[in-house]
Amino acid sequence: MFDGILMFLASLGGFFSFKVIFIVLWSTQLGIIVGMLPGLTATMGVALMTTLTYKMPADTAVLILMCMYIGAIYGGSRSAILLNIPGTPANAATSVDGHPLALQGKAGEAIGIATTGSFLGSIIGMFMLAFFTPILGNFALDFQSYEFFWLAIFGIIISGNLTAPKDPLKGWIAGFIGLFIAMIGMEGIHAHIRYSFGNVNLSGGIDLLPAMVGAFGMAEILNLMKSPRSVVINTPIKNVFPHPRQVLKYWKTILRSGVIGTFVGAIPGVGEDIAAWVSYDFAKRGSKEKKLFGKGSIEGLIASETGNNAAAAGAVIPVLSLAIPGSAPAAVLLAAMFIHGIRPGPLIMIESPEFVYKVVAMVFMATCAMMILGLSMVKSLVKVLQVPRTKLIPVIFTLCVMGSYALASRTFDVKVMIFFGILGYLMREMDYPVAPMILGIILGGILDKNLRRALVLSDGSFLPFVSRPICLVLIFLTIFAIIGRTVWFGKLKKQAFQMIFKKKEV
Amino acid sequence: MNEKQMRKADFITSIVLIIFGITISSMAVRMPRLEEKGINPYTAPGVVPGILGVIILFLSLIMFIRTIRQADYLPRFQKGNVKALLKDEGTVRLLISLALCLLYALVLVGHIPYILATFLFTLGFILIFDLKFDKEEGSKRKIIIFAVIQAIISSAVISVTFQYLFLVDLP
Repeated sequence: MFDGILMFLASLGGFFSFKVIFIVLWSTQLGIIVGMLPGLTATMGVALMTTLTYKMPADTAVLILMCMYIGAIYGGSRSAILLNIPGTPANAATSVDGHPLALQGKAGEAIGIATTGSFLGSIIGMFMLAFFTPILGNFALDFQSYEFFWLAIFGIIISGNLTAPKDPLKGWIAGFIGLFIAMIGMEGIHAHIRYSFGNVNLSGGIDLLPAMVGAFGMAEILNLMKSPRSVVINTPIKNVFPHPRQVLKYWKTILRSGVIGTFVGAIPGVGEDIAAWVSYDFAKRGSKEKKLFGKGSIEGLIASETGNNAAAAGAVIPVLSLAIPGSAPAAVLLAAMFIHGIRPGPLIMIESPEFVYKVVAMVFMATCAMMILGLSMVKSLVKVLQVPRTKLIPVIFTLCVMGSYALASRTFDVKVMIFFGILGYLMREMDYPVAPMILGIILGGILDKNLRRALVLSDGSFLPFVSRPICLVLIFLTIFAIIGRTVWFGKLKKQAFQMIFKKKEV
Repeated sequence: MNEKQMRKADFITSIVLIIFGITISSMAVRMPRLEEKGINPYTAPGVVPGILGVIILFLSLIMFIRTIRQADYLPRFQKGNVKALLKDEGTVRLLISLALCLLYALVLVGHIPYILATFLFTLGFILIFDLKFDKEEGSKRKIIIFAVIQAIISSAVISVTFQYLFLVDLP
């Protein structure tokens, strides 16, 4: 415990130089701007930034990406409040109460509350990141191939469940297609080339980054250009500094949303948007001012913003301890770590524990920068929202193309980006979530190697898959996630409630 | 997409996914087992893709059965529907954006100098949308001049940044 605090302080001390502070400030500001602009998501920002920073030293690159991530998740609240269009999907819950506040002439107050909520959420998430990563990492040291197999399956199922609330079946299909995409190319045990159809480029496999830039970048561009441009509303912005009493009044909501946000963020492939909605829902249920929700409730606004920023830190917990991303931007972060030769996973607490605390220090610096930048230059930054998208989109698409190309200097990656861009767009149109597919591409290799390795270890027996304690827990969670979404389970739940409470379920 | 359209789309995608599932699992079965090399059969390359193919097939079958149990799932192609779709502003905007993106990424980049390709793409994109769809305020001449200036600046900045700062060989 004390070692951890010392390592955190040492990392923080190492970051205190003019150069690093400058990097933190510009990258967080850029993140806020990316987040603010509707259509540019945190994932797109982090993915494009990865392609731009891959020649930098590892620590600097990860710091920039972390600042970009936290800045973008926060920045999205601006457009949610001022335009009623969430800047990133993570801020959808923010617009429910943020925009009504702006319409009441309290835009400045809403921005201040959102900034404070995001700051506190990120700080809670940071503490949990520092606390749970070593615990989960040490726990994961006992994981063998059997557990990793079930973890991959659980990740896909739960991600499909939560990112496709209307129809989880589509989420699961997307996840398994992602797992299949990871099978393309040379496999890791016998170096046999699968599904390449004789194409040299395909035999190298599908790289995650061009796929992500396409699925989250190009798909978003197509989606944005399809709809007519949005009208910017001129809302007066007065004082953005919230009164401490206004924030302290909701300390329970802040704490609850922070904890919920971090946990939801840590669930593989789920992300900040779900975290914000879950926090918002819990805040509404526990509130004394339920009627205000949806009409400009400060508590609702604070809950969603605390939840989504806590999730950003929470999503990094499984990245570091299990090498499995909690959200889509965290997936890019994981890919970036691999590119820079950092190997996150259960062994990280043994091989390089200082890196974990370095990441905690990065979250802390990005959070402080977000708070400072979020409360300053508000009026001038709002002008960014007035930049016509027709001027912005061609530049973004050029970066998508160049970013995909720059990683390996091959045009094949540009084609991959285009393919996933069109696929991502079609998936969105048909209610298939993209996040489980991307998680599948990451988990595919883990699933493939571990299932085959486990079968060799057990000599073809499936008994260890279902008899080891951690496996049993993961199997139970997976089955519950599947059955919990079936119609007959809903009916059964209703009947059980009626039997137990002799009244209808509320 | 409304519910009715979604049912029709689900019907088509479930059939496509069923074919996809069958194809990948049958390809997995035909993959070499590498027995001649004395390799454990459980580590054969086709094991996992085969399982994934079967799971995808199973899930898409559920979707197929679920869709055909509802009414009005068969897509009907009528001339009027296609015409109406092509006349819809959203579809036109989408198709133009897609065409411009494909033209830039697959045709222009790599075949003409990168800076010129980016200039043409940026200029074309701004002019088509600002003059035809989003109708920016101001005279035509002003829009064209601003578009040319932005295209020159952005193509130059992006090219120079990637070439000299990130040391990438431009395509």
